[in-house]
Amino acid sequence: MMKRLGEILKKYKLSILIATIILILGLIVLMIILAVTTKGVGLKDFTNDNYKFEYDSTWSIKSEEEQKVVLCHENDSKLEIEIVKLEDQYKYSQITELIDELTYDISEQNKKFELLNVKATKITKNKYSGYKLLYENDDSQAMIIVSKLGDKLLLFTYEAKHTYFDILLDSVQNIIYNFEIVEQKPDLSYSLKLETSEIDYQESNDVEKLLNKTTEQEIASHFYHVKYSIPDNFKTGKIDSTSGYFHFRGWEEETSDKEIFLSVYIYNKNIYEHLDKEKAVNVYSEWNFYKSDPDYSKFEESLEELNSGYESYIYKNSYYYDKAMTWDENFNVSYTSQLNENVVMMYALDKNHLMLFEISSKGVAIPEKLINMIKIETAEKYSSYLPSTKENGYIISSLKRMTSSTTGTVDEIKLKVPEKYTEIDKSSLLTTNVYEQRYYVLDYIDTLETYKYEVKYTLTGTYAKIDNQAESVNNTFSRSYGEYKDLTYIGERTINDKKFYIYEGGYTDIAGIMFTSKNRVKYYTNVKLLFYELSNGGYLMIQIDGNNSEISESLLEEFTNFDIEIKNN
Amino acid sequence: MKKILLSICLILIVGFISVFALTDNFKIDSTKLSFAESNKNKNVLDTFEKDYALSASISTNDKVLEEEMITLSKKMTYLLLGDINNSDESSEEYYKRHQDYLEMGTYKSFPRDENSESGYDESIKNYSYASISEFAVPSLFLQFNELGIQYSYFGDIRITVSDNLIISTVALPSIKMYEENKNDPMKIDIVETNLVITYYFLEVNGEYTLCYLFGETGDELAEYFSELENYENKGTMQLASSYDSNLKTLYDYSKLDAVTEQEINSIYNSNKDNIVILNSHYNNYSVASANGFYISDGLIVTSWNFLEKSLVGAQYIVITDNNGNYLELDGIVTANPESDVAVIKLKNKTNKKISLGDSTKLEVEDPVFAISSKTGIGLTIQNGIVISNDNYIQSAIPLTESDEGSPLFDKQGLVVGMNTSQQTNSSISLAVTSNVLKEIQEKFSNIDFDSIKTISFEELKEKYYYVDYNEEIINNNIPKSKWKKYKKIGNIEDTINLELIKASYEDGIVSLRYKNDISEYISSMQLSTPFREQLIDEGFKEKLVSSEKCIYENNKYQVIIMSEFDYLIIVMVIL
Repeated sequence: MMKRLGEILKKYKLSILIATIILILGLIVLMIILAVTTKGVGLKDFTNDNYKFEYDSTWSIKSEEEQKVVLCHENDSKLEIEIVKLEDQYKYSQITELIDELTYDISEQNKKFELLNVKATKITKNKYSGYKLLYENDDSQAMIIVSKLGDKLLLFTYEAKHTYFDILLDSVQNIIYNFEIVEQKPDLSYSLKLETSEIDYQESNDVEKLLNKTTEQEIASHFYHVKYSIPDNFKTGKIDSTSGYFHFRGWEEETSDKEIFLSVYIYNKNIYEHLDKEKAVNVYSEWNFYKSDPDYSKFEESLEELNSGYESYIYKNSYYYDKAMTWDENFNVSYTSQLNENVVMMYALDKNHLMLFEISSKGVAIPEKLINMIKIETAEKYSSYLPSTKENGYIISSLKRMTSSTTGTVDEIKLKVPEKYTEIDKSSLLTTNVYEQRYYVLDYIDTLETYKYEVKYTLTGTYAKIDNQAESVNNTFSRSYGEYKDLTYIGERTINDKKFYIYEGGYTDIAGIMFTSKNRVKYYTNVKLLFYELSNGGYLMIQIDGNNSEISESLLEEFTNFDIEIKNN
Repeated sequence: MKKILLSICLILIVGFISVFALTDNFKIDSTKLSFAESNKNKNVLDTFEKDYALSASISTNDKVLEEEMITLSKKMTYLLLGDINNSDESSEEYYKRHQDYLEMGTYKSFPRDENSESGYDESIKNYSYASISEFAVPSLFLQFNELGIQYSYFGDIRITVSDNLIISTVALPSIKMYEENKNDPMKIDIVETNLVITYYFLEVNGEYTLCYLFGETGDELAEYFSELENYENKGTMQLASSYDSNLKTLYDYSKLDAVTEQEINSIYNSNKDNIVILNSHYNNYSVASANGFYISDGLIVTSWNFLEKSLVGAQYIVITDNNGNYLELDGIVTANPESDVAVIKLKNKTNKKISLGDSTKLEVEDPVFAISSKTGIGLTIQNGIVISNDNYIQSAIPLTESDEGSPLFDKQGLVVGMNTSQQTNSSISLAVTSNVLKEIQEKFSNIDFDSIKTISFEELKEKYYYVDYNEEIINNNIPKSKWKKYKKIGNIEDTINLELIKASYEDGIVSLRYKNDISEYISSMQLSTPFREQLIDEGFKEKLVSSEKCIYENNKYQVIIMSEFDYLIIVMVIL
């Protein structure tokens, strides 16, 4: 048998070889054909003016209208996506208010389907609130997903035969997850007539050669705490935690002909409102005067969008003051034309908070190099701006004031308040300059809705008088709820080796809800007012309120624990 | 031959049926989505005796105005705070919203007169509102928006038409806003609270304009209401005067101030026994509470809103009097959802009945009193003044939802209305007039108590329309031969212990739908944990893991696990 097989193989050796080669080649060709013809599942994009989404290639677009698109699957399953514009009366309702009626309407329109379930859900990667409804009949199932975005109802209807419904669910979920409404932002550049162009900066060697390093500053206002950099040539003109005022210093020759000022602010304002020419106060309005006054000439202004990571713009103007006075050696006055420039850098910290850097120059151009050195380092939402440290059981914090902007002399009072006290910021909008006033409290009393002790440190102006200060505190006393005692000067005392001028008084106050009888509790507030005279003029004023509580000697000692330093800024 | 013909016929019939079945596609015609109030109450109202039907107390014109003002209030809230849930509003959108908001200010459209002191035409009544709006409307926008308020739904909107102003009180529960961290003042927290915004609208040239607004946060209100509750003890009386200070600036309270404590005590003492406290429960949990009062002996008037909440969520209603005695409910006699009144009957007479007054005689700023239970235990008397008296009585008494169904008294201690306050944290409350109560009293005065027909709470509950989900069809078309192979994946028959509702096989893909009948509080995905652990043991790799969807793969299969509705859906695909 084996011999016979061997003979056959030998006889048809060539034919078998050819047949084997043909077979192998055939298989290769078949594999190539299969590889080419087998469909891979790829992703496709759909975009129109209103929305966009991704879908896998097992689906195809069957029909397409502006507000509605229908996708069909190879197995006849269907997904409809529709945006329904709502009438005014439903525009401001939320989906939870509409869902009962919507379910009713949909069920009425599809009486051959039975409702299986309704469930609240989050839709798309943007997690819009919505609902999903599940219906079925003998043949198929339908899932309706509905959400409301502003004045639009977003409606997905997926229907498939029982066999396919769950199989295709994953791809349907992916389509819905990736669905995005194309944002149509209002075109403000048109309505606000924002004309932007590249700003021209003049060279200014006098300034540029002085610019070298930057220094970091901070500001806190309207729930924001921002750290920013400015050229270190700018020296503080006034110490204020809520704004920044700086003078450019270090001119090669002491001169009054050239000046540059920098002011920094945070406003509770939208950036476009500051750019809106129709508004009474906007970035242009401050200089409207110079455009028409005959003493000023060659007024030019321009606006450029900044590329800063924030929504930001930069505004610049330049003009000449033609009646700038100069004096010769004999003190004869003559008039020259002086260049003035103003630059405003506007940064939208968010939709309703605006940070402004306002740079003004006289007799010198503001160079681009200076502008480029001004930058926001960090901007954080903060409740309050109270830089302080804790040390050996004390809260260490400072009060500061500038007593001479020319010499840069700063009085700094270092307070040491026991840690059991809490420092709070009384102003919710954070407009208090914490370097001028600090406020500490101890032990909240629920029934009185206030603290047992409240202590306020205030730095007065350099020319302030004790009597006037005491009188203004006295004016804040309630006199309508009962007994009160006007603040009276009781004399000088030395506490903690420091001399104080002391006033005493008190008044009756009331807790509870105004105009009601609820929770109305009267209490007596003892007040002690201490003044410490500062060497550069003015006083450190310490107001201690004891609500239904006596102000003890030890308390006076606790709150007169401070050191004073005089520094040059 | 016959067999062939029969087969052809059969094929044709099946084909016809299939084509017919295809025409039953699910379809939504968006042009016909009306959002109209579905007639949920119809079944209930049809259940009551036709002769007991009560007339509606509000005219069509009032309804149109109310609807218009509700829409305006929602729009106003959108303009003030932004769109619901839209925390990502752009600067451009904010700017546009701010401009549209400012356009609503009364000062924008009020006729001007350059020569007058105010700058407005002072010959027109209410010119002072234009001056107020000039300051209040712009500045309050900034204050509200500074707090970063995010709201997700409207709790309630109540409209008060008062002389020349329309006051809209919008309750926004569970809003989020910025607040200073109590322990670290450097930090800012996002806190959840309740907010009530009150808008004052003035009609100028046929358009409603905004002349004033103010907001109250939940903390203040909660404190106020909790204080009120703390004072409340069984059988004792406490006096709470009007909460809202803003109303004090608009209305004259002198008539109320003239009422003595003795007079208030007298109103309370002569009426406390005519008032009942209603609580509905699901198991031991309280679902709703309200008040009611004897319109005639054994018949109690209460709020339909309370009854409706109880029909949806409660198993039974408990009625007690001021002394804590239980009163047995016979059933519900009639109701009118539009007027928010319902009449219920006790099993036995109690020999108690309120005295009706005449609400038409009430004038704006007249004193009024509400006796109600806020805790579901004792009674409290509160006072206020009439703000308007039309189809409804609007009073400046800060009532909450649990006060609904309580009587409103005039200075003489006569019942002039029933409080329907469905609104929490409002300073203005709404009461149906004595006319509505008079109709009820007259209707049942001639019917013998024992002959008054009722529907039991349980029976009414069954009639009440609520979404009743249907049972789904159970399908399984996976051939046994195929299942033998797939059931080995993750040892699914042992690792998933849920009821299989639907199972299908198509083209190498198996889908399985299980019903999560364990608990609504345990997610379906959680119930798939043993199955998922088994997949890992079998060498499957996690490709995606989330609470809604997980994907596992090995070199042969992909397994997709989804949590959808109350189902666990598992799809197995050959790769």
